[in-house]
Amino acid sequence: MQILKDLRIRAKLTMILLGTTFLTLLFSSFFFIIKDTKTFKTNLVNNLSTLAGAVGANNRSALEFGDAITAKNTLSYLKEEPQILFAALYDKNGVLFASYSQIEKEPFPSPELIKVGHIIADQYVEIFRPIILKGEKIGSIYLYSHLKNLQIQRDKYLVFVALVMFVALLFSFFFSIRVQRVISDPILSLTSTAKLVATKSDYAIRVHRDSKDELGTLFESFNDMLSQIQKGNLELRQYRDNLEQLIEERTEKLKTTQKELVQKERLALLGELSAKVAHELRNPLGTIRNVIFSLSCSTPKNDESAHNLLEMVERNIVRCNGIIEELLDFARPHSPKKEWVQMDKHLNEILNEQKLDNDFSIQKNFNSGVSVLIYKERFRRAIINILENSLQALSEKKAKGNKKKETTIELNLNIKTILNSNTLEIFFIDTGLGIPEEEFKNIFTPLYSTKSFGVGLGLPIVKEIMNQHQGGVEILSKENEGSTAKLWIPLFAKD
Amino acid sequence: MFLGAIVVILFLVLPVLSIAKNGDFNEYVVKAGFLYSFTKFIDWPEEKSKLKSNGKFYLCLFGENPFGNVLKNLAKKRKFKGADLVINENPPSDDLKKCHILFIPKPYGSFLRSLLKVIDKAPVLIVTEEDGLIREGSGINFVIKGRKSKIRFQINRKAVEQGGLWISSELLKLGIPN
Repeated sequence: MQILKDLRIRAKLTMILLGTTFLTLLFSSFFFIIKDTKTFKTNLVNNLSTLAGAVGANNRSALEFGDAITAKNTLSYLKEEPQILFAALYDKNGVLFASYSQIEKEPFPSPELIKVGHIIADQYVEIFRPIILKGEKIGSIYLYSHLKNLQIQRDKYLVFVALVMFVALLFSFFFSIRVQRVISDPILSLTSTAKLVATKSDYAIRVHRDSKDELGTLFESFNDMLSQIQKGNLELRQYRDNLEQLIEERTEKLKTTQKELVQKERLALLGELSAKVAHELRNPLGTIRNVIFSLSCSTPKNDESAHNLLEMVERNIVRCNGIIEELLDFARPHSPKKEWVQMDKHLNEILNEQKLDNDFSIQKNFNSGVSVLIYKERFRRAIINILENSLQALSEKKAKGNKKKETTIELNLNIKTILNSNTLEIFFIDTGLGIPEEEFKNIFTPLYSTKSFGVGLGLPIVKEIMNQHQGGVEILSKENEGSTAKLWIPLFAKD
Repeated sequence: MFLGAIVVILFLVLPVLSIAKNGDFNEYVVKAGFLYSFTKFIDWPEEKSKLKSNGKFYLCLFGENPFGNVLKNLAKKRKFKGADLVINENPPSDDLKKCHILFIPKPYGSFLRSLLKVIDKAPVLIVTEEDGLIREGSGINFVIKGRKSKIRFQINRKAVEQGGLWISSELLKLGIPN
């Protein structure tokens, strides 16, 4: 079986076709021979039976008149039938009456033969028949025939069958060689294509066949498979290319995150430290303030230079206090509770508390009319920080303009609230100095400050506070023309 | 059975037969059996059928009866052409035409010619047992042949058939040349 498995498909198909033909012929021939032999034997028995009947009838009168000579003469005509080797007539008592013989033979039929009438053996056929005259049994006849004719006929038949089989197999062979290509050709083409694909690793190759049978399906599936491999390869290559870029991007992001993390840690540490320092500084500063106040009270009012000095000290104490407030603000924990605040009103209150230079023209357009849920004190700090930045910018512009002796300097601050769908927006639009481009990118970086004083926590604190309110801060600025700050907060913050 | 007995006896008594003289009892046993057997191979015309002859088969004898009781015994056991055998010895000349078989034993063969005239081509089978009678117009003539003195017979087919009888070729082939 292994040999059959390893045969080439063409040889296999040819062998299958030839084998089927051979088996079919063999079986049909076998059964035909058996059937033929049987028919031949039956015919032989019938013929012999008829012959026995005829010979018997011919000998009725001889039997009737006991004329054994005539009977023997009649029997001798059997030499015309060479297959009859022995024939005998018996009278009604079973006594041998006349016989004809080509061989030495016991001249009596076996009891079994007398019973059944005929016996078919391999080599011979025996017939035994009664002879009837006018309804009366007057004797019997016994014929013994050889079966050489059957053997001769069988031999002829076998030769014929062998010849037919040979011719049939020859035809089948040529037929199968042509017909098996219907199956083998596409399979071979598939095999060679598969080999080509495997050796060249070229998945763009396709097989071609237009048939709706299983082979057609196989070809389609093969092509589909190649397409999928091709597609997969392409995707894989793209992934490989993308991956490098992706890794770069991720690395960059990671670096940034790490930087931020470090900064946050730094800030946290700073917050802790500065809170402690500020706290420790506030008491001595209070004492210094009280002392300065006492000094200014006890200093005569006409001592102008002394008062100037004291004022300078006082001013610087205020500044120190401001710095301490800023630091504490940064480190101070959240106010415990949010409360509903009417934003327009709140803004007005904050603005009224501020000392404003009369040279600045302040426009207020508070038309939102909404209340928002906020940490009131923290939000106030954010607004003050933005406001201070704007005022600072205006102050600096004024100082710069004075220095250049310009007469018409625009010093405007426009503050407005706008309800934009679900968001409340607060704008601070000033015409101050603006922020130089190279500094702009650092405005939200903690501890970065361009001011001559301050610790650089103003905008980072604003951003932090706005984040706490799920809102945000945006700054637009152009040097020497002014800045616009936008704070925005959702009307309904999610908890 | 009876014929079988005859055959068996025939074989057994052949040596005896060979030395037996004419008129021997056993010879007529065989001849009686032959007469019976003839009827199996010969058909009589319609007018002599069993129906027309009142179920009788007439075996007529001329002169002395050489059969003794053999025929009588045969009549008890056998039907001739399905009819009862009636032995009619020396019938009146008017009744001769009624006979199915007329047996003329020896030495009455010389009466054959005149008997033929009386019968006048009526369907009667004439059986004789003297040499030369077959050419005289006898239908069947018994002869003794061979070293074993076997009883054979000659057949004059023309003589048998001119009365309207039909004779089987099976019987004809057993007849020895005239």
